[in-house]
Amino acid sequence: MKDKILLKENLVSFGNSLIEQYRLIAPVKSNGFSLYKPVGNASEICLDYLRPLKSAKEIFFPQNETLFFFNKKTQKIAEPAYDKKPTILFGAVACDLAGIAAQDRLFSAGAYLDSYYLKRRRNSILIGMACPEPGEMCFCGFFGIDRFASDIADLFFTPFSDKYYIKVNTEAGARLVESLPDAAAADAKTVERLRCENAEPKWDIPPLDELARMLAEGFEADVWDEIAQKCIGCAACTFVCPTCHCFDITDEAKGEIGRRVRTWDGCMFPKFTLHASGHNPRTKGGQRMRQRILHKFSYFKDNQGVVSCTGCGRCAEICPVNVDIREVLKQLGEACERKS
Amino acid sequence: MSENPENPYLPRPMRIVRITVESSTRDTRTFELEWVNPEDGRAFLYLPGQFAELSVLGSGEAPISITSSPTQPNLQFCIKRMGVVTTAIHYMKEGDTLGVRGPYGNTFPLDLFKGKNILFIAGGIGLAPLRSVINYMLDDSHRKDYKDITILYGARTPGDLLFKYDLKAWGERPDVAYLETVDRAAAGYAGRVGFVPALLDQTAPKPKDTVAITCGPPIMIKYVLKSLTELGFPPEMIITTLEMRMKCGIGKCGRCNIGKYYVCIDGPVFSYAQLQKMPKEY
Repeated sequence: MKDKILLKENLVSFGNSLIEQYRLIAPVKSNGFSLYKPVGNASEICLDYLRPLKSAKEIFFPQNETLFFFNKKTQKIAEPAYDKKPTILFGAVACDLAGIAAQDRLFSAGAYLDSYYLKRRRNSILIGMACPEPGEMCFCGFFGIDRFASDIADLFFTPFSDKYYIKVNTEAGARLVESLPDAAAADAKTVERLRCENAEPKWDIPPLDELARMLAEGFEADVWDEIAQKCIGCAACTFVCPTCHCFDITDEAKGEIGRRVRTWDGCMFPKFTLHASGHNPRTKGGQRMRQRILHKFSYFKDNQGVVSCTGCGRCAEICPVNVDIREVLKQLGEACERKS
Repeated sequence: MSENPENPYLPRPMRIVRITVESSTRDTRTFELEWVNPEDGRAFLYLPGQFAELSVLGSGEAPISITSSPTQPNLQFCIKRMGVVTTAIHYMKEGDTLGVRGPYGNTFPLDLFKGKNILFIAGGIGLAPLRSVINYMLDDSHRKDYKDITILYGARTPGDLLFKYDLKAWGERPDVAYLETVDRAAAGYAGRVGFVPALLDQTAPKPKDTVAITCGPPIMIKYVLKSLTELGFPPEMIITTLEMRMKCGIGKCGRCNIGKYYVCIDGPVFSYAQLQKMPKEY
């Protein structure tokens, strides 16, 4: 598959050619924020962003979703209608693509496939976009995420001068760009140079393998309570996170008619683990903070093979009391050093 | 990419054929269910230890352990009225329909149990999941696979002793040693009074070739584990079941983990040896 070139001035016509056959989702400006949203005309696409305010996860795992409708009297249940038009996610940054890769693993893991997630995901095409410059809260490089490439993207765009260099990763992607001119060897070199010039800075966080050891040893550490002191349990961090996948299942009914809904939930909510008996294994903020961090850096890795943090920095950015996940990891490292 | 996975979240309808009030306070009942569509029943193959998500349209779902044995014809769930869903189920009558999806979770390690003496230690409604494996072992087709079977059971009061029809049958069987106790006696009760761990200490079972299976309130399990360890039971030969708040039952919703273990798919049955490796967060 040959890599392709698209002139920036042709982006709108390229985008509009996709809209005919696909539901196109791309970053747009909305109330001063960049958000991934369905696009009616490609001229709405706005690429002057670092990364959208919310992650791309809701495209495949919506914040609220009807599992089925029911009638209490007849006991009949009916699955919601499903739009068969395939989705193209255009302009996803590498941290969000890594988030989708993590969710792919979870929702297709084990003996049970999540049909709701997979029917959307399997009917989608991902088009990545190079992130020119990490934001203030970003640390994707810490996880080895390449801002200029992604394995799970069908196509990956890198802007340079008046063009996009299009890396073609899959047949499905190749079909979308068939009519575009092939990239020249010189273009590939230009993109590679861009990538080298934008090498990641060093991070003063303990490296991942060392972190794993610290997390195992530091389960009972006092530092969790210290870190959690200012947390107000709003769980905004879990909502903007590209990998957080916790959900609740509840029924809504009016009279005889109702629906079963799944909605995002979060381990930072104090009642998240409350049993019907009144017992709650995580009553303290420190326990919940520990769950969130260990799930990302230890449990998810053990179960699904990857760390479930992509360094997008959104949790730190959204937190109303400035809990910064990078600082949490640093504090944990320092606490472990003090101990040893 | 065109493969269409089956929807794991759809409950299958079951009809309530019998409701047995188990406790004198009427807050615990056993619901015996039969499949509305027999093909759903053929797909629902379970072993002792597993659970199912019970669904009441309009109220929601709750994970409940299966108390019947696969050697019995119908599915049975023993349910204590605790929250929204279990309350809704308690309002149901024989002939009503509820939804079931599952079976979920692992099973009791039946291979480990084969050829051994079996010691059951149950407290309160903790007998519900153990009753499944007890009746499985006591079934004519399986009894020969196990040596001595001892059942120690306790509840708060005589009125809280569940499955009295089974307790009586077990007590009458020559091939079962059944001992019961209550925390507090009541008028007309002539039996043993005391906590389950004390009964265990008095009984002092020998650990040789014996597997202990325990389920009950956390405080009981704590002291039972201590007593069994003092009696010389190795942690691999002590089996228990855990519960956590659950929603999906299939390892996706992120709610029931203890460390990296998800009670819904890695449990609910764990050995004490496994428990010792888990973070103390349950």
